[in-house]
Amino acid sequence: MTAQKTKGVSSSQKEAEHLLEELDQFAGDAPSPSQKQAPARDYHLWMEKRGKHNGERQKELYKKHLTFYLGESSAPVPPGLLPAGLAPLAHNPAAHSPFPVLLTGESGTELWTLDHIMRKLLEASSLKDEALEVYKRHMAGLEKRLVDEYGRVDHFQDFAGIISQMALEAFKRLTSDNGEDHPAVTALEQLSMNVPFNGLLIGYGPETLRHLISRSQAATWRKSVYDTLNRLEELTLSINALVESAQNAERKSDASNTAFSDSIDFDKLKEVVQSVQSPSSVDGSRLKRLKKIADSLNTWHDILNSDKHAAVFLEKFTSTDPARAHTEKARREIISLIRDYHLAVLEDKHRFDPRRHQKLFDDFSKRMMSDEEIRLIPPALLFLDARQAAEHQDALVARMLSGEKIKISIQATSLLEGERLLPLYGWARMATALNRFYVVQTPLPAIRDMWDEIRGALQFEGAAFFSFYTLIDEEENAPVADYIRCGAAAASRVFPLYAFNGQTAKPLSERFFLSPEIQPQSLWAVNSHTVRVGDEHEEQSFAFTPAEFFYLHKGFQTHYYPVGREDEHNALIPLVDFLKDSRRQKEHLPYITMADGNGELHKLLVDEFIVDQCAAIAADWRVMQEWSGIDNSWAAQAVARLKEELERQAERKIADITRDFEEKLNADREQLTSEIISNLAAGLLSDEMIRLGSGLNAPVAVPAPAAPGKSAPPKEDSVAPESAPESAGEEEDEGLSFDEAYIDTPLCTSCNECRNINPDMFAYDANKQAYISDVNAGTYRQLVMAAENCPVKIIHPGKPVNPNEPDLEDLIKRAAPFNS
Amino acid sequence: MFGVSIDNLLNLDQKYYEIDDYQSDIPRWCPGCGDNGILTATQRLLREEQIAPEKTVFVSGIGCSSRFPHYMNTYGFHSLHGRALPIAEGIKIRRPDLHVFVNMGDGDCFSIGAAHWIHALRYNMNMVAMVHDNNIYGLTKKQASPTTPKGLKSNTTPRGAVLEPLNPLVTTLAVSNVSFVANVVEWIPDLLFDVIKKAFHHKGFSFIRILQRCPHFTPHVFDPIMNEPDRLRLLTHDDGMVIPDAIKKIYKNVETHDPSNIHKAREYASDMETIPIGILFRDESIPTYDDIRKPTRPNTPSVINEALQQEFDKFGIKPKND
Ligand SMILES: Cc1ncc(C[n+]2csc(CCOP(=O)(O)OP(=O)(O)O)c2C)c(N)n1
Ligand code: SF4
Ligand code: SF4
Ligand SMILES: [Mg+2]
Repeated sequence: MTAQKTKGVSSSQKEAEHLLEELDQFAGDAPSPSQKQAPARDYHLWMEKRGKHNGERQKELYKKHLTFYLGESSAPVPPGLLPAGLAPLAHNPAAHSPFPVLLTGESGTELWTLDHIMRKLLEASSLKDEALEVYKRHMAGLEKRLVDEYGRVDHFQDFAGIISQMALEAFKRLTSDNGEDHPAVTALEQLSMNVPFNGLLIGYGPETLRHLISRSQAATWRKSVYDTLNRLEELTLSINALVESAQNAERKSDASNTAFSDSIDFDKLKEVVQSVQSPSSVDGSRLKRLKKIADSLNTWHDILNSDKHAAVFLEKFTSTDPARAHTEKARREIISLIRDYHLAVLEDKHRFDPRRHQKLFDDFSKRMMSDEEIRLIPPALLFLDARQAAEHQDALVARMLSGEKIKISIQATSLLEGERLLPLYGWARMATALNRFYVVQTPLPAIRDMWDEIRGALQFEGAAFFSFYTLIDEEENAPVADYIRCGAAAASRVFPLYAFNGQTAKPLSERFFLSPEIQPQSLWAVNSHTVRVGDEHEEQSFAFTPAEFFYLHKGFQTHYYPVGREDEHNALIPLVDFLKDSRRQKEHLPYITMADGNGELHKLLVDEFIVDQCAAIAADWRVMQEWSGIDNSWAAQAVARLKEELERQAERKIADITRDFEEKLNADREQLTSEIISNLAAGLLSDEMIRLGSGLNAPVAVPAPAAPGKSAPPKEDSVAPESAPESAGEEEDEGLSFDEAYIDTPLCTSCNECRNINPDMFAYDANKQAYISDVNAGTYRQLVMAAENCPVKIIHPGKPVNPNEPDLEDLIKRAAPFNS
Repeated sequence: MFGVSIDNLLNLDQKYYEIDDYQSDIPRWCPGCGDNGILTATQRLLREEQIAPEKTVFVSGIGCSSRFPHYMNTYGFHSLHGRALPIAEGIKIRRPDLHVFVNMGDGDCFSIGAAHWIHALRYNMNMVAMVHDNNIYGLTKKQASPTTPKGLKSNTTPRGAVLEPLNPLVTTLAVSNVSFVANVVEWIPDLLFDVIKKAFHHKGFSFIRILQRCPHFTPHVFDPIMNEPDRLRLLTHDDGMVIPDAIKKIYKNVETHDPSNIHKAREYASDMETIPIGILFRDESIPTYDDIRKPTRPNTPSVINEALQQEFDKFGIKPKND
């Protein structure tokens, strides 16, 4: 009896437990209705165990693969393969480019990534629990918008403005009281104290580096000549006052006293009047002189103090001769400026005596300038793309050898041309070999890792050389994002991340810096991932060699050959092992490991061409390691060989150059050495450059920097008349005609009627309210039908765009009631 | 190593919800049905507030309007005719962390669910209740509801409804503990949105009656007020509904009304000629039942288990061992 009862209880107990389990699940972390699983969490590497064949089949397979290795056969590779070390990263939806970045800091020299700022924003919010979650989501939204709007193309605008506008917009929507007491707004305010909100948000693009370098250089330079600039400023004001006073004095002596206005500084005037009362004065020649000096100083002053001057730093080097002429002119002009500066000092003190000084100033030259004045000449920044550099190779070499303190940047937007590796990195190596350049080489996505070095190179008193790689996707359907392929160039050693300090006093190994980002200690960078093999999980490492890098580029696929699941044989060995044996004997054949879209691992055989490339790159890399003090016990002789080669190259180039410029050299040695003076100086003064300068900065000056939200035709929150497409809205206010079709979007009740008629013509905005996305996507008849069907009568068909549509007359009649 | 940034906590586990993230199925309401606008306004609210879908429940009864939870990509409970409120209350007391919304038809709330309606007002639990009032039973194809205008022909009143319609605003304002009463029309999206938002931020039971067009069965019931905009009296206040200027251009009958004034609210509510639009009444000082009856200890599964065991034990027969 008892037992039976107990049993009964226990069965219902079981049921209850079962129920409770379910409840537990419900209360606990039941999946959210919206949580669509991110693919990355599902992306795992795996492979099935593979069997081995008998001797005969092994031989057969070896033969087949050998013919491929020797370039005698090929086969298509399966689509969607990525290097196994990279695949989990590329399939991670959270992976993204570090751009846009914010260039900020007191002297415009700090580089923040958006991630970093967002993280700070979160920390600063001091929100908790759900409020924090909500806030995070808003930040994620903000970040998304920033990346969407500013992430890819170049933008060069005021970040503080952008972010505060966006944030405010978001917060306004959050609360009814304009966001004032929302915690997020308070957080933002707090944050502005520890995050530098003023700066320039710069996206990823071909111009990114130019902006970063020139801005940062401008700031560095400005800091270094701060005192001189201040003096120049004072002097300019003072001279301007002098000119004004003298002009007034002249007018006074002409005739009336009414020439005095309230704005005149009477003390100064008195001084001037007194000074001009001596018989030698009131001469028109002094006024003329003063005016001339004032003009010159004012021009300088404007240029040096304007935010636009960064653009003036740029020298467009497109052809040798103009570049040389440019330099000449620049030198002359900067010297004349310094001369005017000294003249101004004398004039300001009323100590200029034409008889004593005129001759001196007529012969003014650089020798009369102080060190600080010479420093006032900003270093020339030369930006070339790789193509230009190749075109003007000789001129460029000349510049590099000239001893000029020039900062040269060469940027490639592609490293490969067909199957050829472009010699971009060769330039960096040449600069390094010259041993007086501060060299920095980086692909754009890794710029933050190298930022300190870049800053060092810009501050460096001598010459600097930047070698940049900014892949701009020209390939359709590239397997992975361009910034990943770009960064992969560094990881694969095809384009190593390195810097070489120009200070010759330091020992070599201290001067040479290899970024820890790319695992400088080892021959190849390696990524480890967990791989499921059959039923077991194991950690596997995947090297990222040039073979993996090349695979990511179109045109190389023929150098890879798929090893089918059934085609394993003993001769196959990993490429990195194959490369270890310098004889590269063909009893083994090299493969790399790839992963497909489902995470399954595949082997790809690589051919001799790729192997040769890898071996060459490995040799270069070993030299780099040696230089940076990493003892790879390999290459003293390789270093020597390379040095010899470089020296030979350099010598050859020097000889060429010398021949080219011999005449000139003899004619004016002194002039040639003074070529330090940059083309920039010319830029600073010539009208053309000033115009160019303002043109370059147009986006900064233009008042509405693509104000977020304004671009979309419908406005989100208000029903203000301007929320209708602009033209129509304005006309409406004027009570004029309705030529263009439009919808009173804020009144739309999202019933979908219009979109049922033509989803291409009518679209929903972010608030799920309809607007006309494309009048030309349908007929006028459809427009009129939509207007008639719209339950809130807010579709205004306007006038037909196509005059040839049938039955127009009737349609226009039907449209009339909706157009008034 | 590839110049890739992945340590972004925002991208990794945070997602900015767009309107589409709150939308599940495509609504199956008739073309032009006013329920669409209510759905959009609600989705906009969630987007604006960035409320996680998994932190939100929509509860409904039976009717066209009660299909609402199907179209929201959140938790939902399409319950029984008239019973949305008690179910919502149960959810709220058990899971106070969830945002609870209730969508009911006029038949659902004012007719079969009338008792629950009155008590929900009195319990004043923290949730938003929207009544889609199309003056008819829509789903069952045109039977008179408590708000059907006198004279309107329907399947149950073929010669026209004989009774004066119920005034739900007056009714709610008469119930003790009422803390938030608003009246809006679904065809002015900005006002609808603003009111839903204020209701969401109100602590307590937020009752919104929404006049909703049913082009299928009551296509003309709202003609008088739609054709004569001045028959809508827009109530605005710093603590009430905010009216964009552009709306004021179309609807000129605007009055300032302090929602803390219940007498004035009742006055506006009783006016059958000019329909008050906005927040009629709001009082946050009214205690909510969820606060009053907050469980003193969390109702964790083990607590429940223990309680159940105790109950089961009562049925057990213990051997008389002494
Ligand atoms: C207990 C019960 N009684 C009656 C019905 C039939 N019924 C279904 S919906 C409905 C009325 C719906 O009208 P309303 O609540 O106004 O919603 P609408 O369809 O108008 O949105 C009725 C009476 C039912 N489903 N359950
Ligand atoms: S028909 Fe009118 S209300 Fe409906 S979606 Fe289109 S514009 Fe909006
Ligand atoms: S019957 Fe009326 S309420 Fe129901 S879906 Fe159709 S229009 Fe909407
Ligand atoms: Mg109804």
